[in-house]
Amino acid sequence: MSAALIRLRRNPALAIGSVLALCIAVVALFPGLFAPRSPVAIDMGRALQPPSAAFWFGTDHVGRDIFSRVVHGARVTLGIVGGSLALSALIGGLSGMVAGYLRGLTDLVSGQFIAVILSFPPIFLGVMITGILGSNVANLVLALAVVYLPLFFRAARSAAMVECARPYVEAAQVLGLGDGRVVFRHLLPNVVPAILTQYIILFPLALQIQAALGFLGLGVQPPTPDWGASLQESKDYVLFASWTAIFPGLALIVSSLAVILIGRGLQSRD
Amino acid sequence: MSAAGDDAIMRLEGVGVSFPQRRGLGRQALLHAVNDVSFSLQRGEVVALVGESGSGKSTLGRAAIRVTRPTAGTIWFEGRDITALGRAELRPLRRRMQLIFQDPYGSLNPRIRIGEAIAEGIRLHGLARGDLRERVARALDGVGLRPEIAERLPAALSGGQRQRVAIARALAVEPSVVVADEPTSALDVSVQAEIIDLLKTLQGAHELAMLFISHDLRVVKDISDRVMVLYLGHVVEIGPTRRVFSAPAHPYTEALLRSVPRHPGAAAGTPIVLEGEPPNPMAPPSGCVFHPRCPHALPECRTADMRHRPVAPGHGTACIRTDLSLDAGGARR
Repeated sequence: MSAALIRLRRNPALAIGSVLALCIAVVALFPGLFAPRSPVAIDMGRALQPPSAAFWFGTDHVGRDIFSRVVHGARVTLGIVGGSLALSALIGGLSGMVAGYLRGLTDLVSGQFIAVILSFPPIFLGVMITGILGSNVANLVLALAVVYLPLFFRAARSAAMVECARPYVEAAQVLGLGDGRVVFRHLLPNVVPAILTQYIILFPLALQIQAALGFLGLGVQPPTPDWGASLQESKDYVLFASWTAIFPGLALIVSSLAVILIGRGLQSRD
Repeated sequence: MSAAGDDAIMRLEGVGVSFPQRRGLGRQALLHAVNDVSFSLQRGEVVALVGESGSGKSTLGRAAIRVTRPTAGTIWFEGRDITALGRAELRPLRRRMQLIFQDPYGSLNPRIRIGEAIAEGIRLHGLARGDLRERVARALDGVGLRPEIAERLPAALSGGQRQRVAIARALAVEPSVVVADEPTSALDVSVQAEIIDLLKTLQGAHELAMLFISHDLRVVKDISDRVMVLYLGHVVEIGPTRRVFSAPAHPYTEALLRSVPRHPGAAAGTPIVLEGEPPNPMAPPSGCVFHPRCPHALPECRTADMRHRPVAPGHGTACIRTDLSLDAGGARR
């Protein structure tokens, strides 16, 4: 424990990022503990009030407490981003690892498929998928997962190829292990770090895309307190009630920052 | 030991390995890494493969136990033709043919504990009679390691310890043939002798047939019963170790032996300095592949084939000159 503390002290980026991420995670997991009001209760009588002691982040155009909405939105927004990236990492990472191990036709075919996905700009692909399949949370998760699939695939594939060049893979084969065991018992633990790195790198990007899709009205639908959707709802009032946009925006920035700091911190370790 | 009796556990006939190489646009050429090698390996016998880097000794060793697939010839293992077996058919045979890698830093998975690395093969081949932990402890004990090491990751071990683990892992599945691919060349000099002694002891105790690949002639002399000298993918000389070391029958062997550094006070022998570099294996010289560098080359050598002629029982050379009296210099000691 003390060794971990010393390491954190030597690495302020990792320390600050971790503390931020921990706080955000606690808020996202237990929003009820932090939000003083319901995130969806409408009260037209107190619409567009500036931040005050009663409403820390002010209220929006239908009188909902923005602080409560930001707090509850953490779970929605971060859950969607984290979940879709996890799905993407699972599918892309596994298929990339297998392609990098087997090479040959498997690699060629899956590589071409991945190249097709990669040829679309992320936001365009996201708009296309949610636009065609309909705007709901499941399709949003699917869209984000597809958008980032190629990057996980490529990271895992190249990591698998690097590992396959090391003798332990051949040693496992010489011992008589089948491909399945070589891939999942020997290769996987050595490829997972590359996938995790990719996850951390992509998290802020995915957060941005998720918010952008929410802003375009293609993501989470009102009245769910998604940060991107909140930004979209605030766009008509931002000139005279800037707090309606600032606080959801800040939540996005701080969350991205936390993950970026962790990524930087891990990168500069040792 | 080299009697023709059919105690042969492994027999190679005309084995060749070539790799396609891309040269420029679409053009392909074959790199002949190993050409027309025939020999047999008896139960409990150690045959050393020696030669410079690039001579094809590793390629040959790996092809012999079908880690790679030979492109020519036939390999018999325990009376069975294994030349063309697929990966699935080879899997049950893997237990009987093991490989000890050169680099103990790379051949152990950095994220798998030592005990698990050894247990894996035992479990896979259904050899876990009784307690697996005990089996692992015995395997570790066999290579002089304490059972506590089973709990460690490779990073916590020294190079010598890792190589002992690699040996324990290879031998835990009870192979009958082991290919040791330069098992000491990645280790500190102080540890090399320990590993060689260990290999010798285990080889004797388990009656292992071993292909020992090395470029360290002193080690080869110490451990092997027979020596095969490779040059540019060709076996230029094969014979009982003592004989080859005392009376080499090929000029290349002579040059190799004379290049061994000697203790002060050992019989003097002038090193033979070979001129030039080993030729490009993509464009090997005509005739005897050694002729451009051979100090004894005759015009006929440009067209001579590499067929072996016997010089003594079990001792053959690819050199056509019968009139040479070659001298191993001080390496004879």
